[in-house]
Amino acid sequence: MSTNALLLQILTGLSRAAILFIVAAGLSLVFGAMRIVNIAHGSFYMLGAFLAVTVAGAVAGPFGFVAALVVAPLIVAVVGGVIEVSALRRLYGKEHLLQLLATFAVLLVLHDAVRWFYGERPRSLRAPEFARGSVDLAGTIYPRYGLFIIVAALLIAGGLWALMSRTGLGRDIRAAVSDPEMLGMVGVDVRRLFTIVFMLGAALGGIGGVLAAPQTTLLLGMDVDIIVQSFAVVIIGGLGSLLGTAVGAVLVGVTFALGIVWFPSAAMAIVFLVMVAVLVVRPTGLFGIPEA
Amino acid sequence: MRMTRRDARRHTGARRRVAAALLAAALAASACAADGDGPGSPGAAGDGTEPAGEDGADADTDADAGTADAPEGDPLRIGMATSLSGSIALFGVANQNGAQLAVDQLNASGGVLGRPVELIVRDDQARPEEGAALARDLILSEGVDVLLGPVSSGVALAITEVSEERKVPFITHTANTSALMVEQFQPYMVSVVPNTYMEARAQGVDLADEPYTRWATIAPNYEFGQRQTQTFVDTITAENDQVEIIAQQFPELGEADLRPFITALISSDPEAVYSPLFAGDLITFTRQAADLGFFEQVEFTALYETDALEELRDEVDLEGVRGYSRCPFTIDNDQMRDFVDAYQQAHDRVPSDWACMAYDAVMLWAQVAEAAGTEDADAFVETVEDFSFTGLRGETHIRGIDHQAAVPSYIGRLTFDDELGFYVYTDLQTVPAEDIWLSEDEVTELRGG
Repeated sequence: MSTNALLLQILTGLSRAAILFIVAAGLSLVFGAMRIVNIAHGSFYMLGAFLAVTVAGAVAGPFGFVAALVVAPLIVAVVGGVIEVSALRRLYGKEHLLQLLATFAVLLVLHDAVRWFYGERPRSLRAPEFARGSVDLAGTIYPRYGLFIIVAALLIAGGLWALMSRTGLGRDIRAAVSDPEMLGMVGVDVRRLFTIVFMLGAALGGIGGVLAAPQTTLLLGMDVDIIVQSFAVVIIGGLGSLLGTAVGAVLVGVTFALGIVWFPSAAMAIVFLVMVAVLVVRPTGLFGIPEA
Repeated sequence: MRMTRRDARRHTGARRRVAAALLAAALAASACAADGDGPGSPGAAGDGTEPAGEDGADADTDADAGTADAPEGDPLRIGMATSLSGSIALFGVANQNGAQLAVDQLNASGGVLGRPVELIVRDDQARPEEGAALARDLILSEGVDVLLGPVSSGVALAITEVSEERKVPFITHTANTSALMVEQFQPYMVSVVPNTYMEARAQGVDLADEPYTRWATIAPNYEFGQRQTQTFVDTITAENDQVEIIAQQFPELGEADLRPFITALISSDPEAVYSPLFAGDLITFTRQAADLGFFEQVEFTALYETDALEELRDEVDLEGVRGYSRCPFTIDNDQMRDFVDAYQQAHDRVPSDWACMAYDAVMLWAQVAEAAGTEDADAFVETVEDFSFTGLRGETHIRGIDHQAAVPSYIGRLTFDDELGFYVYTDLQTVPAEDIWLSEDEVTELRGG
């Protein structure tokens, strides 16, 4: 395999990792702070993608995509907030199985809601003008949009890092991650914090969906497809760790892309083998926090 | 088309619904949104599944009231089981529209055997059990004289069993597994669609003469994709011993990100790539491949059907790309021209392959019934063997041994159509059925084995 080909393969792996990181970061954040494994997280991704088509259609012209990138995640965040307040709030501290079933029910409800609004037809969204076509990287042709996604993921990673380390909200979230019981005692409004965290997590899923939309075809099954891979990412990286999610996403994306070259029919199996290997060595994932 | 993974999803869907039912008690608050989705309630098939903005067929069977030679008496009934929900619902809606148009035209010109014709359509949800149950119900409760459908090959294999058991003719026009003609052949079945074997072989036969020797393939990873790819590879390597298969990729059905697969193909530096990807997967592939410079580097060929091309619009430069099709609306004959006009009038869009072939299925049945002078099933079987009917693909003969219509495989170059706003097939060539189907000896041999 030539160097150029290898570079191209790694780049496609990284753009795959970029979407995985954005989506899995939301999943990981919600688990870290709230100890909720949200099976419905992939639905936020799907919802974001379909809403992007609607918003970009309504705001025609060059700003359609930008509008979608802002409005769709906001709507998804509100949906997330409603779900947290109406359903999940009742389940904190209850057994994990009940929480799993509840988020699973949310997945079904959102799935049917998207089907009801959008029907079964596959949808697509055009990339924004500035990210169309391809660039020539020293003889390797690469989609401009792929680079755009990688940059977007880096910006989001930076933003999340700043949020967690530089703001009061971030401090509260970190406190919730390390010791949820103490949080209420020191005067933090835990109910409000959890709603905000869940909305933020949902918005990240939504942003992932909007960013994924221009490069793929929107199908009703995309919620389940992304959630399976997102779980692989957070299990490798360690649930609740932002750095772990980033490393996990890159590992999953690049392993998959390279796996395709050498073992075409077993690429996803290799990803799960990596996951198993990590779990054997570090049961809480590479950067995971052991359960208190 | 043949949906193993789809079936698997449906099963998990059923399990999920059980879980959901358990949770309904715990989550009284969020119950309202799931209402419209009563699986298995046949009456609900048409509504709720009809995508907003799509014009589903309006079942106005009495549109012809008042014409001079209006048909009289009990209507003859056509039962169609097709997929009106799921990722292949587009195909099912087109099936319904095409068949309804045929029925309306028959009724407007005096019906069949002087009697009016009625079309009853049900959603098989791409599930074999559902398809079998629907077929039985259509026969027993609705008294249909012929079964049409479905999209999924799994469903077709279930329906052909019911057709044999109940001795009611079954015409397949979309599902095309060659098992229907070979291992599971039964005399009440007729096929007006090129079967999987014919379709893949046509590409191998036609492309073997091209100057490409380094070939690669990319196909959805399930039975249909693997079988079509294998048939193509066997054919082209047998026809041209210079041909080398240098890379093969099998992404999962519905894979959102095909770029790593595409770059892996490009890296192996093929001259040409064959693909049985279709519908949503083909749209994803086309958009992602274009940005990777794929179409400039290799000769590509795939089942670009009208729905996929409509969705792609002018987004990707596909000028001159080779595609193959089962029944493109650009076929140049009077029947097709009239059909396209009528279809556009009714639905404000051109008919897809799936509408054309369903139309042909109805017309075949009507012409056989007229020739036999009765709607009787055994007379149908007797008449249909070695029968020639006039359809959208011209005068088409039905072979006696496996009831496969001698339909060709169409190959064309994509050209942008300014008026329609998407790419269409031009320079249509046909690979005749005689060059691509299993010989009668092969059929006999395969059945014996």
